[in-house]
Amino acid sequence: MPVDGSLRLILPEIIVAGTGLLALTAGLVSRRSRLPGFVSMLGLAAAAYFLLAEVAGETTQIWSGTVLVDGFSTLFKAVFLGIAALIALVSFDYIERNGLPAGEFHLLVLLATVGMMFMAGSLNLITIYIGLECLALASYALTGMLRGSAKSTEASLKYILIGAISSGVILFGMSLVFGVAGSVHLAEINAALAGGTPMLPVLLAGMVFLVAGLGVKMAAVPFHMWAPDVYHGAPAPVAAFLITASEAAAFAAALRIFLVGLPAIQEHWTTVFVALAVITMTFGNVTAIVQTNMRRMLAYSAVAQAGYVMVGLAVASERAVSAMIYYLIAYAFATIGAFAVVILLGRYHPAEDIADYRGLGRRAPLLALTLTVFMLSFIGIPPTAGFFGKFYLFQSAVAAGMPWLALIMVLNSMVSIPYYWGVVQTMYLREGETDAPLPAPAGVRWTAAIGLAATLILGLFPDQVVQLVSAVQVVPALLSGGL
Amino acid sequence: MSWTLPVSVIVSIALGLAAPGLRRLFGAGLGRVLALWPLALFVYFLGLAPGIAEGEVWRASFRWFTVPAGWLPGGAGPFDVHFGFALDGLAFLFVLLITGVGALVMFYASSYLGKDENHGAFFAYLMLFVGAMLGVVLADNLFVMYLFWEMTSITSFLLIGFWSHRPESRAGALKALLVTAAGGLAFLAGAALILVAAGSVDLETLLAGGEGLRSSPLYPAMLVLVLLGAFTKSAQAPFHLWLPNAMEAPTPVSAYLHSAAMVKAGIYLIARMAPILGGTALWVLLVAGAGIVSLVLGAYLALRQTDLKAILAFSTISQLGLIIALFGWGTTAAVAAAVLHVLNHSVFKAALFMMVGIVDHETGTRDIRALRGLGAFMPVTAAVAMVAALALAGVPPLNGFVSKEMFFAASLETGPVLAGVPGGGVLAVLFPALAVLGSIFTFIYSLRISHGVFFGQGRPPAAAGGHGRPHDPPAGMWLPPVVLAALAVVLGVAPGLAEGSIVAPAARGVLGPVDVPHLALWHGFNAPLLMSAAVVALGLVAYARGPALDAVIGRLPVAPNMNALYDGFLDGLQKTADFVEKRLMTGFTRDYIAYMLGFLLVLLGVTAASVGPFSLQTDWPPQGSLEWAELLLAVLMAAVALSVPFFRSRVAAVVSMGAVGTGLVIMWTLFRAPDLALTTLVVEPVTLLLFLLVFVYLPRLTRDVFPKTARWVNVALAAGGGLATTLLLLGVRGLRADRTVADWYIENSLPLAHGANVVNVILVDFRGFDTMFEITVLALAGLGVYILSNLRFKGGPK
Repeated sequence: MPVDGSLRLILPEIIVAGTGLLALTAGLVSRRSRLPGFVSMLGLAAAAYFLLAEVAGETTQIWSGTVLVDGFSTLFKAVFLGIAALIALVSFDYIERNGLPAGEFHLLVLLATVGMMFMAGSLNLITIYIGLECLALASYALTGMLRGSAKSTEASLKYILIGAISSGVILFGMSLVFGVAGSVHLAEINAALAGGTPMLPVLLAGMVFLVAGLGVKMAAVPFHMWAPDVYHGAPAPVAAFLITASEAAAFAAALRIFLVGLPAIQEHWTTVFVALAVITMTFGNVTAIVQTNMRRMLAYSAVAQAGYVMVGLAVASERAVSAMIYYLIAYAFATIGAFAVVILLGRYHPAEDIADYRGLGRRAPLLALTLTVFMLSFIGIPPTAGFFGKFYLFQSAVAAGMPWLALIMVLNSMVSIPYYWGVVQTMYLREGETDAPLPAPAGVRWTAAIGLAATLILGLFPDQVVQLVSAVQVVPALLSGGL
Repeated sequence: MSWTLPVSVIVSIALGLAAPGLRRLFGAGLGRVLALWPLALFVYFLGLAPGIAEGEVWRASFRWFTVPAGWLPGGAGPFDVHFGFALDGLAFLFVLLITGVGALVMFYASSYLGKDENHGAFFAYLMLFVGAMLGVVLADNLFVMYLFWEMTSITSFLLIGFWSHRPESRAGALKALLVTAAGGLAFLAGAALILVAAGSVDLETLLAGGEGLRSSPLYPAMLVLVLLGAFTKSAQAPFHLWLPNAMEAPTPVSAYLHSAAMVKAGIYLIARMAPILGGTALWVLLVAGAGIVSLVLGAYLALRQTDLKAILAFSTISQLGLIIALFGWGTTAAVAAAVLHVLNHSVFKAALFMMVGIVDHETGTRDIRALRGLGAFMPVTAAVAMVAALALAGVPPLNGFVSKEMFFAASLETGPVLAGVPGGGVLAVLFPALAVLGSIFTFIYSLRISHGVFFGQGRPPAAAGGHGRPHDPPAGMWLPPVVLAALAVVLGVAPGLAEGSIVAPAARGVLGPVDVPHLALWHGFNAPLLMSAAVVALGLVAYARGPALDAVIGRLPVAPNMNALYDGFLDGLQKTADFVEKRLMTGFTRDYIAYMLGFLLVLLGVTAASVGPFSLQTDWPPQGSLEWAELLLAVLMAAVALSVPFFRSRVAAVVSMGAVGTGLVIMWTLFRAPDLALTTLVVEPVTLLLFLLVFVYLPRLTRDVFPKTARWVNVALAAGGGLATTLLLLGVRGLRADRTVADWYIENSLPLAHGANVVNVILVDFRGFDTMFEITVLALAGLGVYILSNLRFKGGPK
């Protein structure tokens, strides 16, 4: 064990992993399904406390460069912790209602969170890969947790099969990059490639494999194939977790790998990401239009949103990175909030059809208003967080001399209005079969309220967060001198 | 700092949010109580008129957020975006319209809505809309304006769809929203381009830097995007499609949104942008072109309608076209006429909509073929209708006449503006001609909706309930249109009343400090008067020969319209989406993987092609020695692998794959990698075992399960994958690792880990975690196998 105090720097990760075991134990010893959830939230709060009080502000590498702590990783870790806590909050009722094993559920969510934290917190390809696998394995299990549901099982199996291929592809890509650059540390890879390489074709093949493999995790079309089925079939809180945190982690890893490790061949991977971004957002938006099921619509919408975020990778400037992070944060709150409403409606209408939202404006006026705000945020209409997210991405594309890419984003946003707004129309202009009010469990109410507050605050007072994400550097300061 | 500006917006929004609660307090009188707020604002703002006339600008601005350095090209430093409001002459005019007409409409709507309708929701939406509109016109930067802009779209959606039980209402609301919100996004994109080009979104800064914007390479794009926003909002051709459907709204909503407010937001945007983006050839062509086309097309289409509200909808398209054409020309006289007509149009059009609401209310129909001779029973309504319609037709001494004269005059003086425009000579003649033509159409339908309905020959319809005759409504409903009609007369007889306080400051808001032409009813005998006379004469003749005119129009083709395109677009989108989803998201993991691998190969190919030719190590025999045994083994493995697709039985296929694996084990041994060989030797049988455990439960491979096409796709993918791998291997063959890790371990085992046995040290110290995880993985795998072997599947073999 290192005695130099370096362990302190991954204390948040250790706390989260330990909390997972505690939650599992709590699930075993207590009949009350709520206890593991509370344990999980307490642990996450403690981890967040240590992250912000002890780790924030540090920029250092430990353990032969396998773990890195810097502003980028701290911000992403904070986001992951926040998302995990919201997921724990929203799933109390869901777990109870569907008879899920609460201990296992929270353990898996927390282990996935640990995986994500390592994905964002390292410049070492192997560490990133292990973090990714840790996340992926937990996700497969989480997806299949609804044992009685064929949809859930099928989704899990598809996810495993495609996920396994993607892991292989990523690993192959990493090995090719290692073969050319002679290192698994991104900063060293960068240095090795700085002067050019005679093995360019091999390096590019490695790059393509990395794009494709990470593309699976980011749900980039056509590597998104698992996503709609999984987001639709998985337990609702798990779907929200995967759409927000897992995707954000994939983007964090991609940002590090490409911006820190492979700037030497930037022109090549940005071209690929331009294509992926355009295909992804267009495909997601177009297919979302025909969905009549709320979950499925949100699933395709998630694909489209991933396409918007990918614009940041296509632009690959410091500002684009800030814009991506802002967008991911904004999107996470709106998505989890929207899923809170979905979970509530699922209580009364298990089919989760959009038609079930008829008359919601009357049955649950506040929740309907909340969901409206989330839909506006998805479209990118003020005064919501989504507006600024989209605007910053848009601006970064224009500033980098790609106004046409920005215009494609706008066109896509226009295409997305019908299906997002369709939900609002259904809620307010269609008569429901009943006017019976919908009592909402506290967890769902609070999640929706937090999502709403964050979406509006980020939309009306974006200043703090903009400053925060603008200060983030993908290439940590301690390396920029040595690169 | 004028805090009243933000307060006027915020209180409106707050009242909107509170309206459902206030309903309990005030019941059906809610509308009248709430109307006091816009009325108070109207009075308050009117009190500012002297200052505004002096050129004062009221401002209130708060730092909203800071855009950090580097967001703009050229590395501009950080800059602040303000949540700012400003009230200048131009905004002043619109604020008066929004609050004044707003108060009247709320008063009117309070009587219009039945007692059992949802007053709380209706007035909530209406107040929110008032707040949003005030925000749009008071905003002093493009971001704030966009924020409120989309808010007007959303609240207007709710208002148009208020009678949500009617499918037409819902469709109309959705159409209005889709078109205007999409236009809004275009406006936002335009604003972003402006920000990039000018480095600011503050209107004040932009006004100073208009020159730079107009010469920017982004100028055409930003102009088109901003105009898309304005044209969709103001229902200008060819984006006018939503307005006729929006007539499904309750009539007070139309009276407000489609005369004084919502559609005027587009006008406001164009007026605001005129000094910044205006004056270029492109501006003149696009703005004046769209305006004049809308003027003629809208008026023509109005002639084809028989529904009173439909006529008014097309009339609005046409009248707004007139205003936009004036801004397109942009001369001093044109702009003065434009702002005056903004005022006039709001006054008489709101009165007309209210009149239609009364007629509809009393008779239960809006069909002009059924409505005849109502004047005898509804004298007050008839008077309102005649005054407002004649104002619309441009008959003296009403307000519409004054602005129409100025419009004609401006149309004759477009020469200097068109100097640099391609085809300017033709346009200079075409503009006045089209202006007259549009005005003739306008004259005809104006008479139809007033004289025809109230004094036409025929049997008057029965009252809505079927008992007795229709009659004038209660005062709550006739008072607001009477106020407006009276205003139309006053502004016609004495246009000077509005000149110094409203029109001139508004025009100066667009033009800068210039002398605005004097407003008067009588300009002497001149060309515009002649044009007016021609309009009245030809219009009267055409109106008198109504049936003949209808016959002619009936034979003309329906004007091209975007409805087909809108429907086609939505339909096409739906079909494409359906097709794409069916094709791609088949639900079969097999297809999913095929798509993914296929795209991966395409990416590889494209990327490889992008670097141009690269060298492959194809020398034969390769460097070093090639043992016959190795070659034989390789051929054997390839042969076994190739045989896999031909097996009908899964077990046979898997066993063949196992054979390939075993070949690999031998290969490792030949290449002196015994540890690798050993690992593979252990893993292979386990994998095989797992496969066999699972395969028992899978159906046999038949054509149904595994169609031929899928087989060929797989063959192609395998071939592509094999080719890519081969090329890659030939590419890397020259690569040699220039250092080995072994030396490092041998050197450091003793000093760092105090162990002499290097292998042991590596296992338990240097790579201790690896060992631990490997053990864990093995344990997990064992658990998995155990569970799998104990599973009993339903329906599986006994």
